[in-house]
Amino acid sequence: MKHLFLSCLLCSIDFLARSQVSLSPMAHPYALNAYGSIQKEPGLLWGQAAALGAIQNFSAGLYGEQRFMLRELSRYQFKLALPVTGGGFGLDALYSGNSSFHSSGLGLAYGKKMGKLDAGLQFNYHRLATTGYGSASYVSVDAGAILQVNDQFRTGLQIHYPANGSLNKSIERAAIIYTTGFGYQVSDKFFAAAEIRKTENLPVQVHAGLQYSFDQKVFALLGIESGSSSFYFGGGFLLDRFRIDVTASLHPYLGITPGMMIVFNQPQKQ
Amino acid sequence: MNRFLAILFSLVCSHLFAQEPPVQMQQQLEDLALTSELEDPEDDQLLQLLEQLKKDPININTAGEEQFRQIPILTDLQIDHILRYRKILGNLLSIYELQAVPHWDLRTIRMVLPNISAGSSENLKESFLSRLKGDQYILLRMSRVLERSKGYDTANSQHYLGDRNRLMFRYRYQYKDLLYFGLVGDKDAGEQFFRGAQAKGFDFYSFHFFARRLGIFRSLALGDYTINLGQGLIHWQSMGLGKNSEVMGVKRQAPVLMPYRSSGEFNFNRGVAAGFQVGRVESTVFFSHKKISGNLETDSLERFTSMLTSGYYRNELEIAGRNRVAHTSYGANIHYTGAGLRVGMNMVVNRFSIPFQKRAEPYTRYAFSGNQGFNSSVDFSYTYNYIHVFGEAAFDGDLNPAVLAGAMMSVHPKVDISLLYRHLAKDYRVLFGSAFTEGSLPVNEKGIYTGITIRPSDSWQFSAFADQSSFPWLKYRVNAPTRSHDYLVQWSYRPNKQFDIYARYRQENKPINDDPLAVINHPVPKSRQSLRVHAHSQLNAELAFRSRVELLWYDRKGNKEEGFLAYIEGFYQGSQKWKANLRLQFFETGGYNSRVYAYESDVLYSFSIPANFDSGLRYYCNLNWKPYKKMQFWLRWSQSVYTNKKELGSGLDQISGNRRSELKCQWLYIF
Repeated sequence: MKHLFLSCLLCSIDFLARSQVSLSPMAHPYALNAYGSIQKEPGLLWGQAAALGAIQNFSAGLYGEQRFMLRELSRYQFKLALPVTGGGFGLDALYSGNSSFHSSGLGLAYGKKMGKLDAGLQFNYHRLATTGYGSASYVSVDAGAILQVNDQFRTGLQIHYPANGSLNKSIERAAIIYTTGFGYQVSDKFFAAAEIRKTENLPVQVHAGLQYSFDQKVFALLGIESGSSSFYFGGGFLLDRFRIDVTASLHPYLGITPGMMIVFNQPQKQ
Repeated sequence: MNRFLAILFSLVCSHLFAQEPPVQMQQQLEDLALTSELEDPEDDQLLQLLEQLKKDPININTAGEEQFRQIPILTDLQIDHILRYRKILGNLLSIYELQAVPHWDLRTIRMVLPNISAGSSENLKESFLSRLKGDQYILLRMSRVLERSKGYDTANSQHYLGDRNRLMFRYRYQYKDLLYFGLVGDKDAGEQFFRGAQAKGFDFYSFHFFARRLGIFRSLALGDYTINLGQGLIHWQSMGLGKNSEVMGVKRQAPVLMPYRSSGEFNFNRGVAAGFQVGRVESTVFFSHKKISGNLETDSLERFTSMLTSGYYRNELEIAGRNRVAHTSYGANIHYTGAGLRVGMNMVVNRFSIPFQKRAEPYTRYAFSGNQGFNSSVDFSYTYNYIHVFGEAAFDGDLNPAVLAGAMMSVHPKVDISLLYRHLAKDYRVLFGSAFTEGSLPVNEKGIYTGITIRPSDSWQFSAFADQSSFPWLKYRVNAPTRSHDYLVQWSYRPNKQFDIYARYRQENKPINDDPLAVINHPVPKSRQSLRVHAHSQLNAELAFRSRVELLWYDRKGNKEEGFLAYIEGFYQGSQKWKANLRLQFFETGGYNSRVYAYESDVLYSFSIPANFDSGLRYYCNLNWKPYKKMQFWLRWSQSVYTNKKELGSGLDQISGNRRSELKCQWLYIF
């Protein structure tokens, strides 16, 4: 069946779980995954909790990057998705920094499919530690939804809300983050997506990205983010049940951030 | 039949909360709130009309021009074409046939479908006794802001004398569009109830009796009513919506005489009015006498310097100006309606028991002053094929002119164009006019407006308008003649009946005084740009979602502010007895200048369009319970939570803390 691909900018609020202090100045290359079709993109890491509503395969993936080529700013993220009847569970773990200064987080997510709408919730625990200054932690909630308007167009909504938002008891407070996004499957090979992110007390950021697949085996991606005027590019390939991607982000002043992703995808049993 | 039911079903579902105005109208109301800064309007005539149309759809096979005009979405061009179509080809067999009527595109048909029917001709000659079989209801509404404001602190010399509850009572009877009567009582928060200045209970009462086609009367109004003349250059009391994405909506259209059934306390007439018809000539005469409130000043001459329109009489100061001025108004309209042609003459006289004279400021040099004002006008409209032209030329008592002329053209089945030119002399004086102008009154303005709508397919629509205005004389907060412009582009996409989305960009530049403390305070450019994306999705018969993101940029001589607003709203209808909706909204702006307005669902016959500024979250929940057919309950809870604020509001409305919560409940009984 031939699919018609239409782009549709949907205003949905996509809230990503980020604390202000660990907010990345760079666009995450896979942040737009939330609006893609997991069925069409095997090996894709789920982007937000609502995307778990559509998963059909077990998948586990690890993403790592070394920001601006500095080991002290390494960042690692592990995601796991487990399909269940009518939806899926997910695990999201993040570590960034080094032994002297690091932030970490752990999230548990559930997504449910309700017809054309997938909705999800994710509960996160964040911790920030600095040698000599102690540590601070807080809990946050992500609520999201993804609507499949038609075969080509998806729109997503996510809100990140810090439940007890103080990172310490005096000044800092974790920010509410809202992201608006859409995904447009131009063809079986070509996917485009964009999102608007609004972090509390910070200007609006726009992130747009493209992905092209060659015979569903080899992938190329390209994106740009307005807040930091940075762009990224990368490529990946499918090897049996694994997908391996290599990416690079370029910040105009801080330099290159190389990254790598490995995802294991257990195909659905017939 | 199945297809019809499917269409009807989907349209009904897409209007689950159809007491809400259509999306386009919500935009218009938001723009109106921006210019008038009125967040919580009491005038619910529009909502009552929409609800009435839903319950009692207009029969497109018997309705005349005046009845079609009750549907706000329709333009005169579309009304004229359906009347001609019916005249040539006879009654429409079904609503499907509307697609064959010129200039009735699918989008328009979808929007008006809940308000129309295609029945057989009815016997229109109904006796008065048969009209007593109509519907009647009683409605009670109460609302309260939970946080106590400074105005209720009795240590304050100007504290509010009443309690914090806002109450409204309405009794209404209606038989089709032939007979209406009813009573409304309204009390604002802070006003007394059955004591003090409000010893008779509510602070405001309104009674109306209105009948159509009653003996020699084409229409008859006793009590409270509204008058709408021409294009609003001399007198217009219905809600007048301004520039918006419905670019063809440049013409004021409403019946000349309408009953007033709202709880708004100012913009109506009180007395008697009657309409007559002899052949193709219709005429309306009206007389009104009521008391209005004003700011009185007594030095060399007792006069009032402004009319108090808020309806608030909460403390001694506000009560002092209450109903101090007797206002008498009378006038007439006569018009001839022919084949596509309508020509009319209008006149209105306003008299005050105390002279009206604004405070002596440079910008009020040409404002109305004195005890009496007279305005007259000639208006016309004519439809030729796919062009509809209209206009009005008005004069005040000193023969200062105001002219407005416009056209709506369907140059192609997929392209509509609208034009409007206005030339309003700086010394033209009018009191209750409301035309399609940049200013609130049709004075001191020249401008040209152009709009275009393109429908490349049934799913897509592109709309745009450009408006250029100039103001020959000073205005409030503008100390020099200036120019302004206003542009808008909007893309709408509706791939299916369950989903629609629009993206809108608007830019306005309206000069305003720079610095009130400066020795020479001259106007500087003030730019306001906004980008909005709004979507609505009907998931199934029970669930619908709506979402919006809006960005705003404000710039006044380098003083920049940015605004952001985003919300998601869910609608749920579990059964015929239960409905609910919930909105969660985040906003962040640099200040009041970059405020963002967003229309909010409310209880039946009510709506609010709050200004969202500073930073915070706002949410509300509406519940509607219908235990049985004749009774309904509504409950609304709303709360705004501001970050980094310790006080909200100012003056007597100041609240300590960072939250403002409101509870509203309503009861309706039909008998």
